[in-house]
Amino acid sequence: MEMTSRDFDVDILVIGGGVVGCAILRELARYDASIALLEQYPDVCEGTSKANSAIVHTGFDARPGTLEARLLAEARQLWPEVIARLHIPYLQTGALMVALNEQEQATIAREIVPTATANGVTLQPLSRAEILEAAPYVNEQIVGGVLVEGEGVIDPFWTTRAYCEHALLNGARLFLDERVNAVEVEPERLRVHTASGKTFSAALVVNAAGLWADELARLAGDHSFSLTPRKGEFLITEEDHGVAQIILPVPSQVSKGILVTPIVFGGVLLGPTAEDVSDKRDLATTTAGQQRIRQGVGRLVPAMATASTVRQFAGLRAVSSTGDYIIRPSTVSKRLLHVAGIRSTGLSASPAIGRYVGTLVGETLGLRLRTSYREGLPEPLSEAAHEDGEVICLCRSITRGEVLAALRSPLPPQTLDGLKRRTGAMLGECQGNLCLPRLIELFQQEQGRDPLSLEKHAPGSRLLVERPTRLGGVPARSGERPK
Amino acid sequence: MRKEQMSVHTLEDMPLMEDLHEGEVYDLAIVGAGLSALSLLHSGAAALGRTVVLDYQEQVGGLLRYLLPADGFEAEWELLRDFQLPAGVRLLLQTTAVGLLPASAAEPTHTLVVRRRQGTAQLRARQVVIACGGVECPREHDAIPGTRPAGVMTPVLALQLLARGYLPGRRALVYGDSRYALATARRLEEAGLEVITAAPTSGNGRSVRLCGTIQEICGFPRLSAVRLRSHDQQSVEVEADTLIYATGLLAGTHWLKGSGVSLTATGTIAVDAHYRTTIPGIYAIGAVIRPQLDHESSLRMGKEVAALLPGGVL
Amino acid sequence: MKLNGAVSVSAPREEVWQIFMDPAQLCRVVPGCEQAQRLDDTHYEAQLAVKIQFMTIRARAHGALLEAHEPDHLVAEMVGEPLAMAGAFRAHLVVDLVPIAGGTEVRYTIELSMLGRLASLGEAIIRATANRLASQFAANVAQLFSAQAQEPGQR
Repeated sequence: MEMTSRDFDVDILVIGGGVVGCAILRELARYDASIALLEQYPDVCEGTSKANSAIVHTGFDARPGTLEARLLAEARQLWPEVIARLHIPYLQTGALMVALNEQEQATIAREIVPTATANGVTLQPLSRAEILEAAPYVNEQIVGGVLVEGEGVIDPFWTTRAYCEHALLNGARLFLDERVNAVEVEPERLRVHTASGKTFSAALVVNAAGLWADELARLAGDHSFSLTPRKGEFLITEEDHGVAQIILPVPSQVSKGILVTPIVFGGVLLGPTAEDVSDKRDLATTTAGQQRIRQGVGRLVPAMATASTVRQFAGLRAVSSTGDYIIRPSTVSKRLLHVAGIRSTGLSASPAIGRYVGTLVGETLGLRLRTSYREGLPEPLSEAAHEDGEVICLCRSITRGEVLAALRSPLPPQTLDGLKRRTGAMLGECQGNLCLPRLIELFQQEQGRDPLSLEKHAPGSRLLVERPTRLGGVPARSGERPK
Repeated sequence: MRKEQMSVHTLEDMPLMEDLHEGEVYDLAIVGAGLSALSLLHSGAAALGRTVVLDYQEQVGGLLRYLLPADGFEAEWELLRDFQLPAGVRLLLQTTAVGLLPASAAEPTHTLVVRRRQGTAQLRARQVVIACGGVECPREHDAIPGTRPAGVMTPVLALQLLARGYLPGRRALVYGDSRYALATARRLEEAGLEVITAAPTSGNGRSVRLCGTIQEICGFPRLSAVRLRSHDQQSVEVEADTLIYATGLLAGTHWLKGSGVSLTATGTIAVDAHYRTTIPGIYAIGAVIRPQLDHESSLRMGKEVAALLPGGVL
Repeated sequence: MKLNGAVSVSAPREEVWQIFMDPAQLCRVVPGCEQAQRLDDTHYEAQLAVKIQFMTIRARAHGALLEAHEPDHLVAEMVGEPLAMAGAFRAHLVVDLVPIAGGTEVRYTIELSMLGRLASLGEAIIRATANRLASQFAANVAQLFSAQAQEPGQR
């Protein structure tokens, strides 16, 4: 890579390192073309992709005939191979939609089942007794429900990273911390400028900027769609009370409602709320939101109304002005392809979105498939990539070896949250307060990072300020004395 | 500035893996080398037979060692400063117990699964004293609403950063009125930070600048303010780039999952008046049975259990 | 975590019993067992490579035979440590061999404890893995005897 140059020439540029952008990058890497991805944050999977229910959804409730429904159906066929080839943690838990009264039961029969049938998903009707037998933790007040067998849970960070690593393995390039601030449309090329002063010239640009896709379009002079953020708050509990299936309420007109979802690595995810907000960076959790979650889940799984929480977070999903996925060329140039308005189904549909967009781009540019293409990723934590070491993260028993393996991976973390998602360190009871200094040291040792420059997540989230002139505290190491 | 150097037990003292003698059976294994464990050793554990002590950290003294010496912790500092490892006691630092398999038909002694730099090993002992303390309760545990910015931490992180020569921020709100929280506030002040102390009204007689409960954490990507609500329901926004959240300790019992050692509803180890857990031969002392930031009973418990252990001395 | 199961094989239980007494044979039916040695009459050691859904965990394990009432009942316990993780597992195994028409039913109960890092992989993943291993074990046992039935003399 031309490290000194500020100008980069590629065939295809993907903007946005979320699950959709990375899935597209992976498919584009099949072609004999130079491809690159720009992400505004210091890690992939930082926007909508990081804060969601982590469900691989069958799309049983999608509006039949939409592109979303079609791609969700295609994704169902693609997932098994993606999970196997990329070694992604996944559990097919199944989902139970439970009716709390006869009216909800009627909604299932009248609306849910026919929609699912139209989408090619078979729902299995269950009596109250059958549900309580399979899921004894469910509210005894239910009157019945349906099982959606194909629903499962996955690690969204792992998925996004695996897509990206697979693309990198096949020659794609990744530019983190690059926020686009201008797009010049020329007849044969698009020129994309970033806040750091780089310029990327590409024959085709894929706009996978998630929540910011409308703003990116506007930079190119395209005002054809707009996206509004909808906030969803979640909370995580480590007590699972036996929850082994996804428990869904019967949806209302406005929302799919608040769910109870097992987490692939243990614990239970409760949420989301659905609140339209104006600020695309508003990720604050609120007392009211957390209360709404408790009320919602309490109707499904009573024990979850009071289960103690270990973490809370909020995510923003993009609601489009069209009500369906927006996958089409821009109104200003055929060389700018929008992949926007992916709502909350981006993770579930990602393999099919990648395939669909990959094919579209390949045909548009008349690309040939690459002769050497690696079909999968090596297995994680294989012995070659691993070494022994003492425990660093006390709460989760994560060793130095595991942290080093992450820091030396093809897509190493640049931030502490990035390291957290790759290793599980800092996710335990103390949230990293005990081991963080050791992790800072390992960042310094492996990446030569000045600890003062190390960030938690977003640009500007530095942990430390300049060194003091006087020191307090006991020396960290034997023999060291305070200066 | 420092009057005396504390006694130092470091990695260099640590025997190599080969010296672990995996097959060997100890009379006593102590999990944790914090204040309660040191108090136990100081009170005559040498009389208890072949003893091994292990700790996750690089030095003895537990979480409090990052703060000491400090006002209000004179006895703790004295113990730590003057501590000498009794002859015959093996100290394994940077050695973490990740599991406990109590005695069974297959194995008549208790087995600790421990992790060290060289790998995972098993330590066998006839008696085990769990003195592994706890971890500080973070903001997430109490579900404090707001953003998730950099600059929110518990005292142990702030103190470790200071010890390594870094400042955690410039203007810190220290939330909590334990002796530990207030000593941390003083340490931050000495290091050059502007410090505001705050706590809900607790009536323990220690003075903080603001009385109120945390309502919201504000700012992104770095903390910009903390919103407090006073007892008269007034909302106050305190500007700060750092929040030191010092509300309590959580017993470090996650590694005992599946061991059969009974826990209480709050996650501490259940013990009787003689520090006996529900499994014969396994005892627990210190913060792991009574989690408090001030470790008020740790020294006493170490001393008492030393006398209670079979072979112990009064 | 407790797992129960049963598998029917077309062999007399004396023959099935021998499988459980022979580390090399046992290794052929235990999923992920790469190598096993007998240390003494009641102790074994083994190297395992257990495929959990998204990765392979390599472990060394020590087993002890706690009870052996030939030819119908045995109790064994195995403690293993993964090489690349800070943790351990313990499996307590009770096996009963019950004669049935045309062969033997192998009934087993396994109580599995996960410690350290293995526990933080989550119970759901461990349970899914354990269930898969149990059915593989059953299939391997059945296959071992059907292979023997077809190819007498080859063991």
